[in-house]
Amino acid sequence: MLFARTVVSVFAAVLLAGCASSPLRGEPPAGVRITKIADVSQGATFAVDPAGKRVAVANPGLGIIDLPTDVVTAVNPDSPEALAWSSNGERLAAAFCGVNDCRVRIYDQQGALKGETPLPGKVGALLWRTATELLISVAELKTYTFGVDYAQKLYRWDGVTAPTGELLHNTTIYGAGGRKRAPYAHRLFTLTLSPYGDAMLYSRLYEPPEFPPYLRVIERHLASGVDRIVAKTGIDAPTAVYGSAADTVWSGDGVARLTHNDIWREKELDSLPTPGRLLAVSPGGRNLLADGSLYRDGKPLLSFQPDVAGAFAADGARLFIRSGSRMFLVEGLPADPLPLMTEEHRDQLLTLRKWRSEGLISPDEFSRSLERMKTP
Amino acid sequence: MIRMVFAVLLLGLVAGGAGAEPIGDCIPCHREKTPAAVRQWEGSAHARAKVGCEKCHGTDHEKMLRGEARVDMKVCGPCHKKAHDEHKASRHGMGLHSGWGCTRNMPNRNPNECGFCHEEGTLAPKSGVQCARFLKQSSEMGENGCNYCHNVESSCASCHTNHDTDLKIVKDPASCAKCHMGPDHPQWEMWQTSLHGTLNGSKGAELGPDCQRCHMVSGTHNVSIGITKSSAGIPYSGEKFTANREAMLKVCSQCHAPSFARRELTRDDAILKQSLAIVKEAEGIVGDLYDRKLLDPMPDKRPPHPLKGAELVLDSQLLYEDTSHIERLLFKMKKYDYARTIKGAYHQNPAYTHWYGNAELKMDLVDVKAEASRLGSRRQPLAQKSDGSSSEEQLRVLKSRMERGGMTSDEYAREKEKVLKEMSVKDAEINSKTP
Repeated sequence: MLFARTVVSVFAAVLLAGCASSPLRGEPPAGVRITKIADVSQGATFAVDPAGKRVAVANPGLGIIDLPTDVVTAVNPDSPEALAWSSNGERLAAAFCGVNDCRVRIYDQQGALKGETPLPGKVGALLWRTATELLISVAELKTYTFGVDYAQKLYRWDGVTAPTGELLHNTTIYGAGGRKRAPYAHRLFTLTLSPYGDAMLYSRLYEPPEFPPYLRVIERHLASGVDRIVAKTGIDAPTAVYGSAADTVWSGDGVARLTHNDIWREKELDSLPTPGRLLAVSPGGRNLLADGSLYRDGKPLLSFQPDVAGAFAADGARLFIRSGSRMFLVEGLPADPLPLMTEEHRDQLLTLRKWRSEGLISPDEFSRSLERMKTP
Repeated sequence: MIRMVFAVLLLGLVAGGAGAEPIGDCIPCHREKTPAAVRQWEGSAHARAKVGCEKCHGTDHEKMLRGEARVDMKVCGPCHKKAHDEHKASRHGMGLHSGWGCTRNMPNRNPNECGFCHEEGTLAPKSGVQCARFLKQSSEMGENGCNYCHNVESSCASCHTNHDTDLKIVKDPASCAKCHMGPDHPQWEMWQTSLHGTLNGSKGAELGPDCQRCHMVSGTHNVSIGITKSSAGIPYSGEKFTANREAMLKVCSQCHAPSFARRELTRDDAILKQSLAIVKEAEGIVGDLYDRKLLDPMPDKRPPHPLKGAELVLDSQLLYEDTSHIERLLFKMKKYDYARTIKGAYHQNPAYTHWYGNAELKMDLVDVKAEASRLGSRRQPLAQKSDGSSSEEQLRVLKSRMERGGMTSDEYAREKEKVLKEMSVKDAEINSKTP
């Protein structure tokens, strides 16, 4: 009897352990494989290189995991606030922050330090605009008796010369609740690069004195510098992501609704019953990870634990997720890379997108020009 | 008996005090201080009608000494209602609303005066008519150089003088000459040397009609009757044109066959249209330079326009200062040459129509084109590649033109489509040649 109880207990423990260790809820569909990559710090920041061969993560302290060889290179004993791989995968940017300042460092693939710069304030996000230009979102806080002044700045850094900063937005955070929130407010200052690399989404914090705070999602065309408001979100859902063709944006209210909007025709295309707090999208825009649920063209595909954060590889068929204190690789998803195009077509597309951002052509003219481009 | 005489005298005094204006107090002092003014009044219809000093000037002598009690239309209007209403309906009544002139920089300025022209708490003028050229001037220049004529809006004395109300003054065309002369509106000069004017000099108004005969028929104060264009020289259309033309033909027909008068005025209309086309051509050249950011300096690189800020202004608010050289040429074309051409035509003066007007207009167009060429030559030539750079410039020029009102939205859409289609064709050609 005792032996039987012991066997059952062990079996139950194994079962329970097995259930607790999977990020997936339910069985994976045929062809989908989930592999654990590493144990990491709870809720750690991570970044996957474009080829999907290296993962930079805090486990704790910054380390680079080389997936083909399973070698982990320790890079820095401190945990980074933000991470980003350059578009060619040769450089890793990492931000390490104190109470009110940060140091941004650039490493190579082997973890060797290539550049470093101090910045006042706290880094919200890092984004490589090109293989050599890094964009850094920084929140600078100044505390006064009436509230906290919250300045959102965007720095550009080439890794060599001093970064240049630009004030994007400024507001005051009021009240005791605001003061408690203020030290984490930099996490609201997210950056998302468009699949074509010519525009980015960032969020501006608004704190009207008599109303709850909220965020506006802004699209900035990086060449023209033109800003457009494209969505309004809740402060629990600071990240917006591009949908297909980079003309649509997914953004959540932070409570119960994630919407998909055509940002040029200003109409809602779709919505999902989820708050939109943790979002990731494949380069082609068809695979969407939202609050632990994976969708393909808006239809549910897989369901993970709700705290899962993810990043797609460039082919869109592989998804790197962090669930709790573990990282996994999900393979076998329907592919969704950025559509292939010739260099001339890409240049034309970027030119048309720039003109549209500056109001030189309308969205309809843009669409017609695209059609002409596709039809020789 | 004595009581009766006393009563009559007393009654007379009381009656005089109650029915007539209290005249006596001002005259003794002013006969010494401003004797000519007193003499002029004494010989006037006002004096005969017992309209005394206080009726117009009020009784607050301190206010008068401060210059705050000038007599304007508001004082004259209640008695001279017909003239007042006719005047208000005419373009004389649409002057700068500047009877007092802007005193903002003058010493000992009374801040209460600001309300004459400005809305409370703002520098915006009250009047619907605002003039950028006036706003650019010092208050001294504004007073002497602008308001001395433009206060015709509110000052009857502008034509009628202050105290001598003799109609002989205002029936003399010389009274118009005070303002209607000079490079921008030389009606006095062109009338004087026209057939009408020279005949007037020889035989009077019956043979040579003067300003009043044509423009103030039967003494009307609405001097705009018969005028078929705006102050900026843009012709009216439709009913407004027809009604005013018929009114003027009625005047001309007193001497001339109606068909003759109609033919003459129609020919003048044609001259206006032709001259306006020349002005528009020059405006188009300047606008195009602005669209291509070739003006030197551009509006955002010079002091802002008082009404439009850092925008290009080519309409009647065009300035002659703080502009580029080509805009200054355009100013002369519009304000001087064009004005002289069309006013010379309508006032039957061939020399003004042709040499002072039309020839100057066309010569200035030559200068505008030469300056445009010089400015255009500064532009870096664009590489004719399919990188979209020349197409982008075209799109920017179109957008600029659209935003300054130089094209309709339909035209804008059509032109953009042409640029985009052309770009596609060029790219297709290049792509087809790419191995």
